[in-house]
Amino acid sequence: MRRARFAWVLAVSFVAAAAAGPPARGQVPVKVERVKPPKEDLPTLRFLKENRDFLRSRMDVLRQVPVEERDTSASLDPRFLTYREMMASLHAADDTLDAQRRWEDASFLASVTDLGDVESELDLLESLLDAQEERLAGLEADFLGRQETAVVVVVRGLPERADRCPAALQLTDEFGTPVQAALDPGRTSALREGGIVQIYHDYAEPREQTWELDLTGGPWQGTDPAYLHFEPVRNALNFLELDLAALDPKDGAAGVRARTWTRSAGDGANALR
Amino acid sequence: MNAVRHLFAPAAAAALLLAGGPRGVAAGDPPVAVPLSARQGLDLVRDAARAWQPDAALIYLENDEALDAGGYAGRWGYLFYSVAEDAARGYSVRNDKIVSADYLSFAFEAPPLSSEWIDSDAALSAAAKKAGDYRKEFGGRATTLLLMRGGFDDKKPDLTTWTVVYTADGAPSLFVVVDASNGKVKKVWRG
Repeated sequence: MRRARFAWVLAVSFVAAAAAGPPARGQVPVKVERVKPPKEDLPTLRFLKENRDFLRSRMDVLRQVPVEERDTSASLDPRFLTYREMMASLHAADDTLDAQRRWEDASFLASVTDLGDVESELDLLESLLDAQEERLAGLEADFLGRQETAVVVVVRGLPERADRCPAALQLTDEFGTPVQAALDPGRTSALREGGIVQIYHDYAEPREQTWELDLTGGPWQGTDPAYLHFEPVRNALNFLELDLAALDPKDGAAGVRARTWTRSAGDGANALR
Repeated sequence: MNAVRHLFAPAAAAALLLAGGPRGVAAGDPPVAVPLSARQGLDLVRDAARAWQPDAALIYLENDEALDAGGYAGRWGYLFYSVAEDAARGYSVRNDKIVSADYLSFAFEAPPLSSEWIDSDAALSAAAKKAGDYRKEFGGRATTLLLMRGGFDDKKPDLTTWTVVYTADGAPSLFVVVDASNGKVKKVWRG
């Protein structure tokens, strides 16, 4: 469900460009551990927990009887209304140019003094270009200027010995959602050629996290998982790279080398240029 | 005065970091919590809750660590509810970091809080006027500040209210309910 939010082309282009380009900020090695680090047990929402029956009973006052839903509609993003206005002003600008051109044809070089009007025509064109630039800046701000905290996991490298290659990786994030990525012949070939493979892309909570990594297939069956400890940077696209080159089944998944780096919206725009 | 404190908190945190921490704190100890108002942690937890579920709405908050006299606390707990997942997830914020995030282990389907609410310092200041006698007589102090909708006002159950709980040894607690939109005290009772 959450993954469905990424099905827009801009984001995919952005990720592809960002992943392919050099890291924009300092790379941070990720702690890879064999044992899951214990979580600090901080008491939270104590009053609610101690008085939950009372508080839940108060909610009954607000309880409403659901009725059959009819003529449902989703709320409209106000930006889409402004796009209509932008389109209308674009057409108005076209009309202005057409009218200008017709007038120009009719009185073309009627007099040498008309040359003076060329300057004012250039001024008009300039102002129309300015307006267009403003509209484009608005669109760019809407679609490129808002980066929420997200994590992209990419895989790089493979062990030299083919019999040490895992058949698949499984990552389990903090929400407990497992994501499996098979290292099929296409991916394996890409990794052998020095390429990278994206196996995960989703929003993430901006806080310290521990993800579980399991390797499966061949000698990896039943080996120990590894725990990746990192903190996604808020409002940035966080890349987590897993380098499989040094893997050895006797180390379990903890033999993976991991690092992170980030890109902000501005970095992404640069990468696209 | 509160505005000054508001500005002072981040400056104090920076000073502590520069100084390498307060005296008597060993390396490796958790950093001293800089007192924050409830609203100061809100943007961070909203970002986190959106990452969890896009429809997540704030339904409840309370102080997770002791309140000071100004309505500030070292840690605040925020609870979000997602209709899509039919689950509630809590976040605890300390020193501008989420130090704990977990699902609520029981059902608590509260309505979303109104977007307009006074901050914890203003709420405590409003409640303090009604708690003067209790504090004087029993030595009571504010121990809990919680914000929820529909909890404590029977006449207007849809209202988002702050509830300030004062406690004292040997005396029943004092509850002061404050309208979170304007700081007016709606109800006071002992129990």
